[in-house]
Amino acid sequence: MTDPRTNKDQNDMSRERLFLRLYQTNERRIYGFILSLVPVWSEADDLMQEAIMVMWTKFEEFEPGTDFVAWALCIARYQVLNYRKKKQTEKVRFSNQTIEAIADRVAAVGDKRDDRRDALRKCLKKLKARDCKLLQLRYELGATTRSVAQRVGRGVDAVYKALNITHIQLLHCIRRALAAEESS
Amino acid sequence: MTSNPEKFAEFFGLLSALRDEVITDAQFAQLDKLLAVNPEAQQYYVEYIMLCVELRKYQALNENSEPEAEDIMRETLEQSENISAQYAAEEKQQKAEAMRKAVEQAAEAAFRKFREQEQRANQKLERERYSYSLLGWTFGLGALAASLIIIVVLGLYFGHKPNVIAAPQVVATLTRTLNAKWDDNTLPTTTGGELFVGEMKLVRGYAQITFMDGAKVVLQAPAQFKLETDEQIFLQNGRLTAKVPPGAEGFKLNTPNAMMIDLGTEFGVSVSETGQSELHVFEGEVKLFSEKRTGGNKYKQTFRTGQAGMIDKNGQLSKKTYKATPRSFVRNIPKKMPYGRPGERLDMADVIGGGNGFGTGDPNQSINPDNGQTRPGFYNRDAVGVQGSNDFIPTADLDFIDGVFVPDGGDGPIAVSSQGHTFNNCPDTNGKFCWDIFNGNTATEDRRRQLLDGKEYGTYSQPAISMHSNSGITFDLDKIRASMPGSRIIAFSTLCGLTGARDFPIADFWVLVDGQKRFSMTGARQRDQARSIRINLADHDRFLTIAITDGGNKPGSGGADWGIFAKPILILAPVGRE
Repeated sequence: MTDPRTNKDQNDMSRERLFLRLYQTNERRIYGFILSLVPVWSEADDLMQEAIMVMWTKFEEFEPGTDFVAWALCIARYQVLNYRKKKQTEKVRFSNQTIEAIADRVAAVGDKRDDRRDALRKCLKKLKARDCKLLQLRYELGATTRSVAQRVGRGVDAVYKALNITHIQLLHCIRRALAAEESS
Repeated sequence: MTSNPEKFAEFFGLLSALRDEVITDAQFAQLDKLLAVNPEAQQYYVEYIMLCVELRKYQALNENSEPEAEDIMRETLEQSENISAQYAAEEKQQKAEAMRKAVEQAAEAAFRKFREQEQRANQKLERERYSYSLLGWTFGLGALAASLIIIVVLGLYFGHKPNVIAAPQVVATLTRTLNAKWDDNTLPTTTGGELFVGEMKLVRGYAQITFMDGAKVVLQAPAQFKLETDEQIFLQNGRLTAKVPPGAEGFKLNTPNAMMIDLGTEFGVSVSETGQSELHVFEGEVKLFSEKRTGGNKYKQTFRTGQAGMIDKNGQLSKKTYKATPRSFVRNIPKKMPYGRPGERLDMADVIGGGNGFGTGDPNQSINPDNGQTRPGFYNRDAVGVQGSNDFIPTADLDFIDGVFVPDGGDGPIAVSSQGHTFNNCPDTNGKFCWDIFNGNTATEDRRRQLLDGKEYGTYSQPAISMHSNSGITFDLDKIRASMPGSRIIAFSTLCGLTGARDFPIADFWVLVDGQKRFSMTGARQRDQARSIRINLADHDRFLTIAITDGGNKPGSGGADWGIFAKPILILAPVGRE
């Protein structure tokens, strides 16, 4: 039996699978990197889309076995810098000094991503059901704090404050969980 | 910072404002200053952002009806494969390409010159006949000026500097896209990329193109068009909205049978497969020229805010001036993908809100099934029910909806379309209705009114049409088809069932096509599982009706028939493909 596909097709297929796997495992980290440098959701979404296209275009240059995240972040960083050049007049834009500092910092935080995810899962369980529901509604596609407030029948300010507190609680909870793990 | 609780609280205040996108410029500057120098703040900031990203992904996992991550990836990959292939080809053939473009441009210029000369000759003739025709003068002068320029340009190419090859002319930038897919054989397309003179075809999603002169055009798939100059576009077919900021007045939009010159404004244009054009002015003024192909009549008319005009395929301008319908155009690319996706699926809940099925409608609108009138929000007519007229009521304001009715088959067949289609086996009901047909969230008192099989509907990401018995609504598929040249409707799909908290309600669900029953679920109860249905539609099917009847236990005497048609969509395919 001969395989109807050529070798090249097969190589392309496995190459695509490899890319998909690497990308999916590290998607959040790359996205987090972009969002922390360009902290506007919609802009980060667009940048992410562009970055992944560039990654796929250049994936031939990537050597399997080397550090995919470092490679991907390098591309993302370039995309962000390029984007900043175009958007020089916008006010919601970090200074170069901040960008440098944050970019270095993300690399370190991302190292523990699986631990962080487990910790988040546990911490979410500790939240009051009401606060958890607010989070869920707020992160729904297309939701705004206002739309969440309307849905739960509370004031916008009250919902905003509750969400702020929940975020801080989760942040501290994750920190504590990771610290406990390290010392144990 | 940790040692100073006040500073700490202030810092988190900034992070909250950033997360919710309500941060002011001053606050942002403050945050930037802090992050530049304070390692502890940097650490907290990065952790905070990572938390937000995790929470969003966590939520995305719960929304299992959204396309799988892998599907999205594949789509993106397909797109980028095209682009990378195009890049490679471009690099190799750059010189050849530039040469081809230059030749093409010169040929085009020559053709334009020929056309304009011809036009000038005709107009000269006409001027001699009608020496007071102002329109003739305008065209004549414009053509004269243009041909002078072209002579100069041609001179440059072929006369004095035959070896100079012009680089392709950049006329616009692709400034934004959402879920966009382009036809392979058209211009290269990367968001943020420069665009040259040439043809483009948007197969799926949305795209925004900003012309060099500042005019912005938002396109909704499917659309086929050509970028002609840095201030001119030719729309072969499809729908677009143009925004022309001050300074860019004079932007030109051509269709197969008309030319529109913008005088500083926002307007929408659609061109159907058969070449019929519509112009809707949302704000400002647009001057329209059209030409009747068969006869010699030319039309010129200025349209102002709120006005719309139609030009038939022969270039004949309608005598009547219509009311512009801004809701039928996508005026801005949505931030998040609406449930309806141009070229893929059309959201019928959006249609209830007066939208075009791709998120332009009011997300919170109801229609009275007994008089066809719309109103914002959900409306409780009467808990014990209002007697309906049992007539088919055409809806005046909603183009895609043929009409509504309160079904009661006690006296025989009932009308379900404006063209006399009837529902022959409509059950005998008490002929009453309690609530309007609604596309938003019905959970005003009881959260469970939105739940079907434990999932919530009537939201942005999970749209639904809520219908309480007895009520029915008929959609005009031909009107919908006319609004999206290049797309076919191949099926209707929805998930229907009874919601609510109580167990006693019973209701019947119906889907009819041109009056013929295509689906029914009688005696449905809240505890029953919701039914997922798909009804294939042919190109000649015109009226799609959905209805709910009281199942014999009469609403108003304890009905509470909270019916829901969740994720009601028309499945679309490109013309010419099954």
